Amino acid sequence: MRIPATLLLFLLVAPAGAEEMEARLWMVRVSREEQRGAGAAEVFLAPALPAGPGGLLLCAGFALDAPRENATLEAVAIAPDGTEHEAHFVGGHHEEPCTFFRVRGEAAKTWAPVELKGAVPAAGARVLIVGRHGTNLGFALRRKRTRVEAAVFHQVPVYAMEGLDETWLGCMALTADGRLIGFVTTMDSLEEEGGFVVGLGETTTIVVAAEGYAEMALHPGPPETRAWLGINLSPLDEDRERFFGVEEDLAGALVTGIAEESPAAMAGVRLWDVLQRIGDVEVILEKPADRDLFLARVQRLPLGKPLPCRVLRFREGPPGSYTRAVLELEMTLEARPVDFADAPEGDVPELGLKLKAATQDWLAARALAAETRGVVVTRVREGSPAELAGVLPDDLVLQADGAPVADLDALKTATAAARAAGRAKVVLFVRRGADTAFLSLRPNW
Amino acid sequence: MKRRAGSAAAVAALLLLAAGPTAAEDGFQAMRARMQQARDRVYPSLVHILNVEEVFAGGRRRRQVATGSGFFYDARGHIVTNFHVAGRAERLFVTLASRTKIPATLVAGDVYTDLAVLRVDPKLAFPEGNPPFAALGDSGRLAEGDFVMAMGSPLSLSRTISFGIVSCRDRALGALRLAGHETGIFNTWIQTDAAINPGNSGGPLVDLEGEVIGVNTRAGFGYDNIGFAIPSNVVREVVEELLARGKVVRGYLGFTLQQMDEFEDSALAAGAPGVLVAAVAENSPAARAGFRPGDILASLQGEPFEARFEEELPALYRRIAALPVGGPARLGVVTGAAPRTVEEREVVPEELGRHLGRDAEVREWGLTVRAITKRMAQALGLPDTAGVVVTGARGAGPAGGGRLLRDDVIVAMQGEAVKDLEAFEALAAKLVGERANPIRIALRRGTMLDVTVLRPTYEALPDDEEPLPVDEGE
Repeated sequence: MRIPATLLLFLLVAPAGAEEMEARLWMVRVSREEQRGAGAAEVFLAPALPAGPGGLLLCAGFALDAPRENATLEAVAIAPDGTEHEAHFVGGHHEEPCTFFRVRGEAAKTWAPVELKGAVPAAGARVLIVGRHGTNLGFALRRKRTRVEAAVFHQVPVYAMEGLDETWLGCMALTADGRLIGFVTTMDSLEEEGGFVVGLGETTTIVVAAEGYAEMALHPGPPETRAWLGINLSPLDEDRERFFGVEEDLAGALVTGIAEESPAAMAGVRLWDVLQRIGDVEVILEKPADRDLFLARVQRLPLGKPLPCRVLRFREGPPGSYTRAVLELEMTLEARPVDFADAPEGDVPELGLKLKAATQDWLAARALAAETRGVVVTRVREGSPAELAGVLPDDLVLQADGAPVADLDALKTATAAARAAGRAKVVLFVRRGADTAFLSLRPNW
Repeated sequence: MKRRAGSAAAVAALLLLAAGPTAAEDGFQAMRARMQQARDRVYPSLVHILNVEEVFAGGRRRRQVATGSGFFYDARGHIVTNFHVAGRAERLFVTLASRTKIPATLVAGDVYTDLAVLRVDPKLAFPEGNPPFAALGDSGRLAEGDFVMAMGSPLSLSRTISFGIVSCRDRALGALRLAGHETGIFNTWIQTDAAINPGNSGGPLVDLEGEVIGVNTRAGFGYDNIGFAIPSNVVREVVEELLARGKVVRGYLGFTLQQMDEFEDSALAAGAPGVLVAAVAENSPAARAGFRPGDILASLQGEPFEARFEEELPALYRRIAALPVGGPARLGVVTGAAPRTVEEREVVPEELGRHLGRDAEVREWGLTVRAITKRMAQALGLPDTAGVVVTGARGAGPAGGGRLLRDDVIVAMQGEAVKDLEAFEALAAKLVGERANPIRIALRRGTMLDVTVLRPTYEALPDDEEPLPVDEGE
């Protein structure tokens, strides 16, 4: 095979920055399991870069695939030395170019992120594609040097590159000096450019998003130190603007839900106000990834201190018309209630259950009253008393043997009491969807 | 299917062969004669049903054709079939055993037991008089192993008979869903290995006396020899009420009950015998009377009220359903274990309403919606029954593109609150009449109260299709 002189030159001049990135490459294994029905776990593998402090890993957006209800997402991060670490999804969206995971435990404490710099290369630029891929023997490093054949700027920059196929999906494209061009994400958009071509995601978005998560990671603190507003925001798109008779493009996002006694409610924010700024954070919700960034920025705002907050309020005039006024409010932020994802998981091995106490976000997502107390089943061990009795993940356990189960300790106490009393069964009262039922478990004492 | 019928007949033949060749031949002939006799008592009453029904889904009202089976119930031209075969019919045609096809009308239907009654003009169907009709037998007398024949039109193959045995006389399948409706709570099922396939629905399950002992209704498709029929004793009760009152009026208390067998040596066992309350619907008569999940009920109107096994539950639900609506009923709840004490409480049954509300379409907006019943509000986690729930939006229509999604609740339009489906229809008709644009909609989506606008052009939508032609029949 004849090697073009330019490629030969490129091979001889190894890009130091790119190689450093390559040596630091992790792998994220995401498995998703349907909680109901007999859906088998689906596994996605994606190379990842340590992109920010506190164990933050950056992957291609497709690592998440389309989100589905009632599915559990589990992630394991594999270090360059092959060791496996518990990880969890922190943000991003399957339609965005990137997703973020965070490594937990010891690895996160000695974490050294790479310096992430973006690049928008021109046609002819040399590119290193790096990734790891799974084989039946483990994970192998893959690399390929190629060139940008053509750069086409649609809404996001897309590049044609030779010699790639679908096995390179999710791999990273780096410039010779180690700048990130993007991830190999699409295969079909540039056929007219000739050759087997691949598009890449937009780097700028990736870097901005990574900065956002880095901000969040810089202030990891316990969840109780992160601020929250207590509102649902929807993008103020054209439809929503037209609802209020607005013809121009307004800044901010529409308040479509508001928790009672939340900081926003106490500040006087109302349903269908347009929130434009809180403290020094401008409210921008245009793309799915903006939501995570906004959240990250809000979480950094100081607690317990009145912050200026600008809202636009519509007032209904004659039918179909609204007037609007700008209001400057003061909002004192409180600590964000612990999210279900961050809530600690406990174990009741006698029953074969792993559970978490129901959090406000979990209850709200199911339209259950905020004062509901119970523990949520996160995992049912195969062949366990719980599985035999028909307990399913996402069941909300409300009582055990007639005693209320407000937290994990209450379930443990009730289980221990049943054992001490010599009872063969523990009866759980659970809520599943809109129904409730009693389930009889026979622990193997 | 041949294999199944063949296997049952072969077993019968083998049993007879054991008694010697002549006796076997005689026995076989006797069995054949008896089956033919039984067949002849029901076969002439068998009908094939063609139904053109309205379906509201994906943002449009559509007509679709369904086929099924049925049988003449009396000499007045009444035909019994399944609700899911004919209960939503716009137009109905039946093909008689004589292969004559005639129009039929829907008399009434009951979704909770999946039964419907149709009527044809007996003079049109049987000009010579003597309309044939099948006799209902006593399903309570059935035993596992009894021979049965399933008659009907599987896969539209009319006048089909399959043969098998009663595999289980009282199978409990719990609450089932029938196109979103709740069904199956008030009956157990006759399980049979006689072949039942799509199209058999509504057809009779016949014993060797030639009496209808069940209405074939469901099957485990993709499995072998698992079919289910509604017992004739339930059919008789429901059909008589449909004929007398046009609907089945049932009392409703709001209980979901659970059998006691799994709880006998548990902390809840102290109350046995009785039946466990698994759920109490919000704002229901039971909730108002102070009942709670975990209560153990022991009596109704002074009579024992107990279920040790799941298959005993439908009978208890039927007893609740039989309570007079509005009249007080007495329910005994266990309050102490040793000694056992039972306290009677008064509860006032309401009428059991439909689970699903009525459907409607706004064609110009590419939108289908449904009225919200109390039970839907509960299932959707809504605070009340105000508004209408979106059942679909056509992708290419004004409501498409994510503006309105399935399960969104429309609470206001053009600033006017939408109280119920009637209010929605009136307002939508007015706005369509005015060719209003934009339409401002306030909606509840999950826990959010959001807004959107529709911009209807009032021109035909690109994915409009011609209405399905209806075969008038010859």
